[in-house]
Amino acid sequence: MAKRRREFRILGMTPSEIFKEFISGSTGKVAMALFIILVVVSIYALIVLPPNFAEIWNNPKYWQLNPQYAPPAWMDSVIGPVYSPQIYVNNYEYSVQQSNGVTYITISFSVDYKYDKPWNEIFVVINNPAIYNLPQPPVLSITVYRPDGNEIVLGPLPINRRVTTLGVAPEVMGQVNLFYAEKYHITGVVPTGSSATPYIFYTVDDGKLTPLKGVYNFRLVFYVFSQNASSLINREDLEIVLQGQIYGLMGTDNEGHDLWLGLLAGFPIDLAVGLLTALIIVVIAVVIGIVAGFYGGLVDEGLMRLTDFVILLPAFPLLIVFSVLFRWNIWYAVVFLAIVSWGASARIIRAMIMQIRNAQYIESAIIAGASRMWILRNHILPQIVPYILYLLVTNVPGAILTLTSINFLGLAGSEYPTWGILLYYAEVFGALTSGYWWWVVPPGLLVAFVAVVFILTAMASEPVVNPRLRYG
Amino acid sequence: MIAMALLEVKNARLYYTTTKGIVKAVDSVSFELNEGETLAVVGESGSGKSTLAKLLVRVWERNVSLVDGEIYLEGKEVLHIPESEFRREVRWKKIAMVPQASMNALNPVIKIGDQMIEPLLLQGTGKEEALKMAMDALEAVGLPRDIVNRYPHQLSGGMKQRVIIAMSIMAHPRIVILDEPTSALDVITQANIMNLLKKLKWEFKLSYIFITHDLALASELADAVAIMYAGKIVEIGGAEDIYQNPSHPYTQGLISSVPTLRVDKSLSFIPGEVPSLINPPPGCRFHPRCPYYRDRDYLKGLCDAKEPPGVKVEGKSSRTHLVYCWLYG
Repeated sequence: MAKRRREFRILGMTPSEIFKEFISGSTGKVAMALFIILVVVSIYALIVLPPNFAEIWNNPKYWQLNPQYAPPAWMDSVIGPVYSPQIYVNNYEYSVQQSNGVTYITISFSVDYKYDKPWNEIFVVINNPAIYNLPQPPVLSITVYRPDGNEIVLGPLPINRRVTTLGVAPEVMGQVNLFYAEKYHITGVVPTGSSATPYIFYTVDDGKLTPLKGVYNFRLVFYVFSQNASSLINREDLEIVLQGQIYGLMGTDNEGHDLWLGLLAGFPIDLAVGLLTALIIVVIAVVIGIVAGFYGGLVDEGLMRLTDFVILLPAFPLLIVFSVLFRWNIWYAVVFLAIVSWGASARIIRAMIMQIRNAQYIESAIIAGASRMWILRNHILPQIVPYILYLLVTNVPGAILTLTSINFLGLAGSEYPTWGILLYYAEVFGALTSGYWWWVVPPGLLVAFVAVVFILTAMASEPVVNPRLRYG
Repeated sequence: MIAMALLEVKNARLYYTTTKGIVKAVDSVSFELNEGETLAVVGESGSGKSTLAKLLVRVWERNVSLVDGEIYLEGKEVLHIPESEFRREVRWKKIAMVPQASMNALNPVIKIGDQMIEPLLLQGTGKEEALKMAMDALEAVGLPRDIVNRYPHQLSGGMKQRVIIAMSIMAHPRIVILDEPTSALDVITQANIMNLLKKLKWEFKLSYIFITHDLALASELADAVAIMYAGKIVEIGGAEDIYQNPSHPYTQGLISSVPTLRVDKSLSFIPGEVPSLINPPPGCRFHPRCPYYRDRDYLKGLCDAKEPPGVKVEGKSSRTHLVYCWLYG
């Protein structure tokens, strides 16, 4: 046969023609837009999230500065300044003094408190390990100048670990209680087990605790018991964090995880999980379908009985049972789900091939001397390749939903947070009954969103798959 | 006859095996086709006429149990030569076929051109040349050349039929077998196709074997007519003779069941149905439905026992008029 260059075509259409066809309808445009969003967000997630994100996510220490169960930060712009936001204090004055073998490091900053719910906690973080390994740990003393002219002196607190939590130190609790006892003659303001920090921002009005709004000035003095120790606590190593009651774009969960990052991480992993499942399903289905449909006879009979068996398997209960039994992670669940889900697709492919195989043009081709491979390549594959892509797209949402469900049951987990895992923890920690909607609604919506994207894509690709719909 | 017949079929038989038994779809069929002649093969559904066509181009289902007889094409036996030789030398090039329900004979996702040239490519013709042949053939059937770039669903039924006809004449065969070429078309398109077939016949010096159940349609094109019943030819002869002097009771029944415009007569029909080809009636296969057999006692024990011989009937046309019936035996 004369050599000829074949341009790349599917169904006789070049990729650009397919693209044009795909976006010619409004469904296609919407699907394309949403699909691009999906892909872009996934890529963005992969770029933004560090490679060891799974490790970070599962390390509670990483999230300890964040508030727990905090609604998204934009809540305040919706309902007014109610919750104090998370503040990382960068804008502070820093000065160093030396005397008698002691280095005094003074930090001053102010915050404007205009909310109903004060900061939960104040953290002083020193990232230099040298400081808390000193034979005699440095000491921190804090003076708070309140808008009402009063001041509260807190400390001294020993700095012997990376994060010093102000409100839970017994000295501080005592000092705050003492403040209220002396000024307002109320005792036991700070309940046992709670942090004293919020009570710095209250006053007593008419015998009741009310928020005292205004500008608070903080002066922190570190006493380091050695000469020239300013390098031990410098600006780079020092973080001062006011833990708010709202956090980030999407709020936090029980451990203070930034849910925005969790949701973001869900994009690539849920997509990967869905696409991988669909890919395995389609590969098995295509192989079984082609072999059964093309060879027929006993092979067909055997494979179809196998297919019947697979179709009848209760995939989800089995997935639950095996996930419990073998402590599967999500990738095992993916493979298993694919292995028990290819039945219907294989049936469809086989049926298509049976129909094609008995068509007159196949008969003509055989009469003309075409080999099996010729027929497979020239007559059968061109008809089923687009359908294979279609099956790939249609199998994704089901896989994502199923795997989200199994994650929701706390099974087949992964180090990476999937949306299903987020929902699982939301359920375990009573997010719904406690009204933590930001923990439940976004992952649920995203699962639905991805399903819709793929279903729309499948719908829009129908005119491409079926040439008869093209010019109708 | 001076000239040798273009196609000569002698005692052709084709049996199928089914779970119920052996189907004698074509049983001892003999006929000749002359150069430039159109032979209409007419019969009811299930009379074996399509099987006869398949036998001629050697396309049969896998469950064939017996293929027997001789087929001479231009004097050369072709039924028993190897398939590869038949494919290379005969099929498409000498004898081509327009299949039944040819509207469905096109792959919906392959361009017309690519489908048309497939048999040529498989036989080693270069793509350029094959495409040129395809476009020439399309032009001959009155379609634009650029239709090679279209998909089947973009064509109307009549256009598809023309494509199939173009495919059959692409390699310039001597004989084209038309198996119900107009059965799914409306009457206007049907008339167009019939005119096209006439035109092609002159242009390409074709001989047709025109398989149909429609006697009226056959009369449009036929020079000779063979009437098939239950896997056998019951009557064969020049078209004039068959239409004007139908001799076999079955032929007579067929002709009187053709509807006529504007003449107020009730249509006659042949009672009973085509017998099972697995267990055909002994003797003349038509005898259970034959009005003469029913009425004439002397035929009892004859028609239902012995196969009728071919009897010559005097006719006007040059073609021998043979009838297989004991009425004339």
